[in-house]
Amino acid sequence: MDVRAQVSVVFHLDKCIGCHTCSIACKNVWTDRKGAEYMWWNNVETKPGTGYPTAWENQEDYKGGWVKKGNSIELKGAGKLRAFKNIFHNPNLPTIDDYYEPWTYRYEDLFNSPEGDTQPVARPVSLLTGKFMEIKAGPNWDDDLSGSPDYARKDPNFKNLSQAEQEALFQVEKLVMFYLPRICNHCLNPACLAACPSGAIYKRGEDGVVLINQKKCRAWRMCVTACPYKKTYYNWSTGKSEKCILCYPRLETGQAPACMHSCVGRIRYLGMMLYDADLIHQFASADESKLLDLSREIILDPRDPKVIEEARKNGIHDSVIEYAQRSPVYRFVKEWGLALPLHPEYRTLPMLFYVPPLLPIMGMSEEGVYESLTEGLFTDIEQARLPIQYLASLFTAGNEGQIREVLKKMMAVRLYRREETVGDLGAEAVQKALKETGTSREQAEAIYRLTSLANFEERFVIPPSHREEAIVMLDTEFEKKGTGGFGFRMAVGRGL
Amino acid sequence: MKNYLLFVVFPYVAIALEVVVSLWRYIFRRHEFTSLSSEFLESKKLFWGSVPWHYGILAVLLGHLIGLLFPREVLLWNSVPIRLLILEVTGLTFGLMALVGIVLLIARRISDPRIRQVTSKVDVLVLAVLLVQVASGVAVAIGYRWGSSWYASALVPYLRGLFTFNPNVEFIAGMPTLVKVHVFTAFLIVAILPFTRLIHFLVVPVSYLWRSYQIVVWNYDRKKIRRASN
Amino acid sequence: MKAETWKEIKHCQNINRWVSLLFGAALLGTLLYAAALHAAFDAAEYYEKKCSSCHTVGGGDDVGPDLKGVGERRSEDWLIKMIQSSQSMISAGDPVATQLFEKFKRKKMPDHDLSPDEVKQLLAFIQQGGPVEKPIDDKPATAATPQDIQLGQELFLGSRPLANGGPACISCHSVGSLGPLGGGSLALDLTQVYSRYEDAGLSKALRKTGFNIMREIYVPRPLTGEEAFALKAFLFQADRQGQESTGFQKKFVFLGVGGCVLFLGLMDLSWRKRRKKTAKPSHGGLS
Ligand code: SF4
Ligand code: SF4
Repeated sequence: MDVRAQVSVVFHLDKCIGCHTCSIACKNVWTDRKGAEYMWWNNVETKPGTGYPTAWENQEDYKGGWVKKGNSIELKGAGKLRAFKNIFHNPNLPTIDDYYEPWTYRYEDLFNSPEGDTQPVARPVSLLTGKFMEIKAGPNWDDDLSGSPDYARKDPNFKNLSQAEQEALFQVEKLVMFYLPRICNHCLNPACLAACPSGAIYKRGEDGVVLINQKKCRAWRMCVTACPYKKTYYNWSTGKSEKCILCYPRLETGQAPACMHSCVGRIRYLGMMLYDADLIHQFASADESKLLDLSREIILDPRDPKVIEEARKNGIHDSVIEYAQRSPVYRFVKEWGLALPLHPEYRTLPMLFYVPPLLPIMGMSEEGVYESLTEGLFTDIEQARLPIQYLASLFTAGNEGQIREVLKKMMAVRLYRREETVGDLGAEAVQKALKETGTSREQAEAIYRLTSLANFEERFVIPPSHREEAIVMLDTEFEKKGTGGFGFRMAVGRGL
Repeated sequence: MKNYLLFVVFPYVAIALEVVVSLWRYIFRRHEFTSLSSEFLESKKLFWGSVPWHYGILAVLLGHLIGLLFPREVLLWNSVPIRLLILEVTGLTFGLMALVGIVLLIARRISDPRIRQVTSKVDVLVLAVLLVQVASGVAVAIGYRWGSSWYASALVPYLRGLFTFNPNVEFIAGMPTLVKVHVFTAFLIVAILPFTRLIHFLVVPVSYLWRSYQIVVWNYDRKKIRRASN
Repeated sequence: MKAETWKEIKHCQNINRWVSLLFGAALLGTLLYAAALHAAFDAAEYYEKKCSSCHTVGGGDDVGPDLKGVGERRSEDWLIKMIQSSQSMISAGDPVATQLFEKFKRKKMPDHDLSPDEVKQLLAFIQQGGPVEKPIDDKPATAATPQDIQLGQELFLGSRPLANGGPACISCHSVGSLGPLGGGSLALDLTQVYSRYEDAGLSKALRKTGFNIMREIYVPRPLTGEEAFALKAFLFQADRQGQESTGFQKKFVFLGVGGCVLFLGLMDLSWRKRRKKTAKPSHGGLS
């Protein structure tokens, strides 16, 4: 057993209101620079939809992630020999047109235009070429199902839905959508890392954050292809790839990452988890049907004395173990089994988990009368507007049963709360629902509390990162003294 | 004296520049070591430029290297006409590929507004020098046959002389101007290499072949720390 | 170097100082080294290397004129210019130079990269009687047997290596009778070299190999007398047969272009699955 620590995250999709505050917070802090304008380390996409970059889930096109080969796995669109064959031209690389051409507006024209018969306008100017441009795409071009005929209908997750089911989704009365905020998953088996020929990408031992060393990156661009979530971005100006850093400077000072801190819907939870690194390869190479279970199984119980002992042997600080025990992520993922990884079939063992949406509240209007369809306790789920298969394709590698389990459990909690507050269902029915989903009342209450009432400290359980120990290890402790806190800073350059 | 300056002094200056500046940049400005790929902005045309260019030029460089290391063997190989023909045609093929590649790359840089945005003055210099080099090389191969043979017998001694600090400029002095241009530009490339994006050539990521797929980096030796504090 | 010092250097904002220092040192070093390499001019050595294969001092005309008494015949000024660049004298219309050029079968004297002062030293050396020469007395080519010619051909082609390890002639030279590929075209086509240099001149050229590059190659690895004779015989025969080597150039270029096109095709095929369009509907993707 090789116990390691990992900061991991849960996004509760039922709570996301699609406000994009998270994206903006991230952009303002990290990617408001030349060459990074198009990067959205955090983006929020509407589902059904094609996401960002367009149709990123279509791995037949982008060739991201791992594929099973024999008893092992290999990168789908990158890898050792392929990297050298393709190093001069990566045939699977998305180009900026798969994202969008970044632009700004000539705002000064609004103020400086001479008097005339027409209103002055601020024309868009490309941030690539500096020329006037016509905006044809943007980071949220298909937000809220806009442009559905072109975008949402092409959602790669529809591949297992029948034509009729797909059509039904776009009937005005049955339209349905939800939001899917995405950041780098800081995977346990990162494809981006494995694909990097120069070895610039690494996983931090202390907390598992996946980072790109800007001094080592040489613009071989393999990570962009390899990450199935398209969460490494190539900076065309500096010739370096960049990605979400999980705001590690904030984490190290005990603050939640900017996107999480600012999240309006309070959908985000962050905490430490312990996992067994010895099992990564074996689990990532498992059959597709087992992937979801295994990506939960690899996470260890931080209260298990044996785990604690191994963790300490591995040099994990007691405080980290203690914080792992209080981790809200552990509860969502392991204890309650409510949170699921996004596309486990990409085999990167993502460490960002999603509580799937229980949307929408079922019902339909007939001749102007709103009618609830609730007959059996869980029939709603079966008749959901959003086909179970669709969610399964997102979160369980197509296994509908596992999605159903999660939704039922959430439904049971909802019924439990309805009984508490409205009291119209009857204790017996609620008891039955809880039993059927294997949920105790205490657990239901805990789920409800962590979902709805959790405050900052409960949502973000960030252990001290013990940077002081890292500094002790340096040769000269006083090296940084008098250097303004940052030491020697190097300007970004494109060569002499 | 002119030949002496161009073909003995300059090569040494070039090599000195190459070594010193590359090391300096690697130590103090490592952040600047990148290939500055522009594929992200334009991919289709790049394919037809970059792939033939790189494969062509690498094969040609390899050929030059083999000639430099094993001149006798090359001459022996060439003593049978059909083998000579195979070698020469292969060389010309790759030379032409490199030529096609560099011409297309230049055309792409000129014609694509996005690529022009990421083109610096040094890039222009690099492309110009490389074009001269490849064009003169192809012209020499066609105009002064059979390059593989006389390179091995007449130019390799000069190059070897340079590397053994016993340079003999006479080999070069009697060469046709085109060959001189080719040799001079070669050292010019060596000289400007560390100042340009060409440095990516020095950091070819060969270690990828044997490194493990995953890399974990600790900020500190955690086990040592725990042992000390416990 | 102590770790601290190294770190100090690394973090020194004034890195440029260090670099210019290092850089200056490197440059100075190479220059000094270069200067040391460029040894003093030695007229006798230079004559031996550069002049003796075409000229004699008192031995009669050879490839070029006998240089005995050249200092009296021509003005020093003229000689300096002539030696530095005979062809520019001719193209400038100098009557003496043109006349000599015609007389010696329009064979170009190579340019000599010498300062006027060095030319003067060279002239003084010639004035003093020049080098001590051993005459070369090879048999005339007319005395060659078919075996000699055969041997000469093998040596020329390289199918039989030269005894002292010199490279075969074909590397740089071509000859009319050589079959479709011909020989190298870096140096002169030797089809008519026999009639141009004549028997004795050719012998000397083969034995002393005085042209810049050839000299450097063959002086450490000279032809033996036998080899020189066989080659002369072969060249004699080539001269008799007459036809200049057929230009293989076109076919060569054609093959190269063919190879290039083939590779480009293979490239296209091998990467046929490359992404050719973006996924954006606005750019025609996602269909
Ligand atoms: S999500 Fe992508 S970028 Fe992030 S660790 Fe996983 S493979 Fe790498
Ligand atoms: S800030 Fe929170 S609620 Fe708003 S879009 Fe982002 S994740 Fe959703």
